[in-house]
Amino acid sequence: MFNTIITTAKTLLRRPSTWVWGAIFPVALLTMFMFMFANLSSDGKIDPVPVAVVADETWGASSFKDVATSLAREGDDQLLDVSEYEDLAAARKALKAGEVAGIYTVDDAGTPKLTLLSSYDGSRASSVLTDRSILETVASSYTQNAELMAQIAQDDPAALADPEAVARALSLEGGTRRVSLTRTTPDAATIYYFALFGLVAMMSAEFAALAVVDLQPNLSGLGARRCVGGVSKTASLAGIFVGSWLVSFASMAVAIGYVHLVVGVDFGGREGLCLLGGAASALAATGLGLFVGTLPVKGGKASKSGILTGFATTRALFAGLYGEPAMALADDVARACPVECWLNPVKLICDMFNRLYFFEDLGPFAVRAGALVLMALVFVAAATLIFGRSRYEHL
Amino acid sequence: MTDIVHVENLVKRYDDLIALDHFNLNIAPGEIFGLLGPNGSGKTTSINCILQLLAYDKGAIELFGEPMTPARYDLKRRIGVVPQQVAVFDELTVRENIDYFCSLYVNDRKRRRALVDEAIDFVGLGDFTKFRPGKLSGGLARRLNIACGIAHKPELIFFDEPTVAVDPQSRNAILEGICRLRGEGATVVYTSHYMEEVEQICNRIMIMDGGRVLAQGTNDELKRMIQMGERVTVEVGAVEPATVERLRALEHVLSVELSDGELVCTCEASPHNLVDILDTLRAADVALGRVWSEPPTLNDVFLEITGRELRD
Repeated sequence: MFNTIITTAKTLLRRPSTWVWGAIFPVALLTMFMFMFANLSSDGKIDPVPVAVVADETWGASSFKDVATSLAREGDDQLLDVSEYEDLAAARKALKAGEVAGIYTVDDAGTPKLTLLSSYDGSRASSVLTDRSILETVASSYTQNAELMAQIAQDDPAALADPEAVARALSLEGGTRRVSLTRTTPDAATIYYFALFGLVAMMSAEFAALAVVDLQPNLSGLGARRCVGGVSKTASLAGIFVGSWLVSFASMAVAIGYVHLVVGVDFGGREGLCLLGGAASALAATGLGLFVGTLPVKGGKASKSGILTGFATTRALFAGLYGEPAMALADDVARACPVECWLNPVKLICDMFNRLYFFEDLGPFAVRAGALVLMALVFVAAATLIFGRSRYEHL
Repeated sequence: MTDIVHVENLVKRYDDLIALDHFNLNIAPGEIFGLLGPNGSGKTTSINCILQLLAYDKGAIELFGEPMTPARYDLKRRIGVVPQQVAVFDELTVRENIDYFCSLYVNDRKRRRALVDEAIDFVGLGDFTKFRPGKLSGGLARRLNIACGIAHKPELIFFDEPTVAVDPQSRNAILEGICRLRGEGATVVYTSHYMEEVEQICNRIMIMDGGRVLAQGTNDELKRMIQMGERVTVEVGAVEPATVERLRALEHVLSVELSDGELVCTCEASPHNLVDILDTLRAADVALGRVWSEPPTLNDVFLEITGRELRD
């Protein structure tokens, strides 16, 4: 069996298609994703939101101007990029031209008002909505704090003399506790990389499928020759499984290594566990490949390869790989049919890496890795059953 | 002595077509057994059934005196197979291929290395051990195919048309190799369409067609089974059709063919064939050139037993 493992790995590694699907394909897609999601990542930072202000007398006298100016101060935490306009008409012109995301004006009472466009470019929905949300939050927070100070002045004017009490009142920490929901800063792009890990793993299922075709007497002369040898079918199948898994795991390691070293996703000391997840993913993929490889379907290698490619790409859709609409679809499907998350290997792999990346607790990661191993066992058992019982009417 | 191969009443059907019809086969140890038959006669089917690659409908198969089943890996380890097509890994080198197929039978690495070296020497691929099959010529690839089937020194070897598309030198080397294997104690089952090869190396021959055994025996026994006793060939000048008819009418003459100044008469065994034919020709004033007589060949036997009509 050991020689079958070595031979399987060797033959796979010497096939150009293995390098295409196992190394070039993941690296190319990850590189593409890296450029596509460059504006989503930025290490959790966002670009300052361009906003127009009407620099009239009211604005100059408003304390909201001080807030806006401080938020527009250059630095790592710069939130706003303020442009002053002489009148509202000039500001509106800039808004319509897309130069700014909104317009701040201040009424006579000093209350800030935000003007936004009634429609926007759908293709930029994500960034437009984020910018609007930031502008709204800045204005509403200021208004709430101003109301709070007015209330304190009315109830306990002496309290305003104590700067620490004022700071405490304005701070969120007074009534809330800061809790980190994730162990790392959420990065919208990572989920796509993890979904891609799922696709890469499933594409590598083909290695086992093609290797097992070379063991079937009805599909190749080589298979016939191997089947008359002195090694049992089960041992041969096991050798092919392990050999293919090694190559599949190498493919996953390439993808994980690329995401870590080139894309720059920091696994925060969990790189080893990441590889463990890759190993579990490769195990499930190899099991699937073995199962499809042993299925008695017409067409040999081509049809088995087609089945696996179709399976991987459609499952990747439900893991949200193909952009925001697909991600929304994946979320909807997950809500409507939670079991799909456990049956779709691409989604399961994506979820496993998500939990490893974001969660402090390793339990959810371990459960999903275990589910992948279980999936592999089921596939291998089915493949062994099919292949072990096969006797051929025709060769 | 127990037969190495014993097949009794083997029946294999492909839907309505009977591929093997109560097929019987016995091969004694040390024989080179030739299995002959036209395309579709059941040769490869019978071998695939014996090797348990194909399911069969009825019958019993024993190898080395024991019942053969798909799970008898102990028996399979004593068998070598050289298939019709070159069935090796394109991605592995010559040495790696031989080593892999040897590993299906021999676990011990050290012993295997020696066996692989021996097989490489046996087929004369010493200069090509690092070549991949795609870089080998047709003859060298066939030799690799053979090395993969015999490296583990099997007691019983099936050769399924091993010399197809091979040049005369390589063919000769392969046939000599098979005889050497027999000399080392192996029993060989050999199928081929090349009658002269079978005649040259096989000590017992079976002719089958339509899944049935038509004849079997030694080369001489088979030749005695047919009507034809000898073939008389005469180089002649012009021959009148009436003379040809007179030749056909001779008592032991089976057929007469005239083409390109050569008259070929196939005759039953008789001591007077040559004299009768020459007397007839002289009586018709036919100019005579060289004259020779040959005993029947295996090809004659094959054609007489299986018929001359074309097959697929």
